[in-house]
Amino acid sequence: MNYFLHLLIMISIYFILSLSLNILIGYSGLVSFCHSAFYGIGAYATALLMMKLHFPFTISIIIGIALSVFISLFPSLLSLRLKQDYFYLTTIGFQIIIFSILYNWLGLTNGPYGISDIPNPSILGIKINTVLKFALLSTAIFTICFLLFWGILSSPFGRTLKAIREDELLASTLGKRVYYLKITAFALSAGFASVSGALFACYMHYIDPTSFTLSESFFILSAVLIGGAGNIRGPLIGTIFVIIMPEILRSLHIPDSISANLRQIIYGFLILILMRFRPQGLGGEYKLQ
Amino acid sequence: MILQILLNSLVSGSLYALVALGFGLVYNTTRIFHIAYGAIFVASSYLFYTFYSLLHLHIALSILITLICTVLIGIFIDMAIYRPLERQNASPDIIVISSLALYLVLVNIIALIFGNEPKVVLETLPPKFTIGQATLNFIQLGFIISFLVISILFFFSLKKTLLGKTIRALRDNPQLLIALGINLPLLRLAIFLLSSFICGICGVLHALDSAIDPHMGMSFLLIGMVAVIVGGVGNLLGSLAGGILLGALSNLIIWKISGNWVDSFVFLLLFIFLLIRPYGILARRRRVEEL
Repeated sequence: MNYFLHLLIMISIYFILSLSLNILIGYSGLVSFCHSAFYGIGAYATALLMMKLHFPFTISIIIGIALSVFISLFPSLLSLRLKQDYFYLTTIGFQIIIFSILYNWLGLTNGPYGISDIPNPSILGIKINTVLKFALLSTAIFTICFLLFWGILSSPFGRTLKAIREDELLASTLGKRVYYLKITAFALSAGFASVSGALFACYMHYIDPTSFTLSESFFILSAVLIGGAGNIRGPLIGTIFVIIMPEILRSLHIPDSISANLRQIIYGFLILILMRFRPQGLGGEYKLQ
Repeated sequence: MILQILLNSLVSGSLYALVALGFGLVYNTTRIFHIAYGAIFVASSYLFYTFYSLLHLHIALSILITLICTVLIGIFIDMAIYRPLERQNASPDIIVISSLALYLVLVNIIALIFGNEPKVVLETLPPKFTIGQATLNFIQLGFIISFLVISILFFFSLKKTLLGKTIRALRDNPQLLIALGINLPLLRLAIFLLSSFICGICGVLHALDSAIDPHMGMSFLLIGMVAVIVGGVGNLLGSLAGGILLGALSNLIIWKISGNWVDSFVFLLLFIFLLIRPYGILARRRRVEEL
């Protein structure tokens, strides 16, 4: 039972991550390689605020979101005015810099040793101390995020983003502020990613920088690309696929040492085939054109 | 001390410059953001490890076979992945994602075969010699010599030969080249051949110099990319200069701060360039919209 609850929690954490990355890839047409940086910022901010300053869970999450949104301005202000290629490289670089800070700033983040004994969160006076309660909490937070995604993406803002994605020049001739809207989309997606970071930190009770590497960004990216970008359904399918896949490999008795490599080979091949024959993924709508 | 730092900068700068040249050759002409280049680098290191350390072939023969295999891999990637995508008018996003997926597939296949832990090719330390107060070994001298030979050959041929001229022309206007009756697929073949050849040399040199592991390709790729941008897009001489600059920067950081921060400072340099000089050090000044 606890195993299924664990899967449920991981799926809801990754649902938020892939849906927030979808705001960038699917709605704004920006392929970003730094999503796990914001995931990490959220996780570390929440963990440190709860442990060092004894802030309650809700306030820590909100400060984490604010921090993430603020930090997201650095890469986006730098590169969104330039061509797409620079955006790829800037996001990769930003990811590497955030990882280095988490890894090397021993005084704040405890470096490679990570932060352990992160306390259980409590919400409205209820202490979340069992897996069942945590599963309920993460599902509730996912539902709130899901409704927010839905609201944001079907609002005029979401439709304008889609217009920019399809034809930037045309959107700007219609008086849409392309640069400003892209920065907003980037900030939004960073904010949501930090929510799942907070959930992850409280659920695991231990975080270290290796959970927030460039490969983790590729992993989130592959969830979105396999499922397909541009609507809500695609990233959900992709997330379930990439979370369930390791469990399938485990049930086939493939040893863990091989399984990690094998998984990436499978995702890689799948993306190669999808990009060639079905760029909108299994269930998405944006063909990345 | 200063001399040693300068020599070390030149050694790592040579490797970075060659990596950047190979990446820039593809990027500046075909506009493909060739992430799989990192995997070719890893593949060449491991091919050399297989031929030299596992099969005990002679070192020259191992290098030769490695380079041939590397070139074949590079050409195969272009034929099997990039060309079909370009034929169906895929966007740059699709191409970069495919290239990334290919990188992940190749690197993880190598990791499955050889394991994730580092491997050492040369069991003994190569002979050393001293210049003034600095020491250098023969492998490191090989870095500098390959860099000098390749860059001189390259620039002579880029300016003087027909191949070099068409490569430069491809960067500016591919349509016009077709109109002139240049065989574009053949030219592309030559570009991928040269790029993978240079990458193969880098992989072999790196394998001789230090331990290799399947995930090292990404950091070399990133340094190569940054060197191309910092040096100036569209200018291959700039890529080489960018590589040397990054070599100096990383040795300075290792000396003054710590080896852990090298990657961060490399990207900090990129960000500074994007802010004040997005067209790079050696390219002519252009408006941001043209880049």
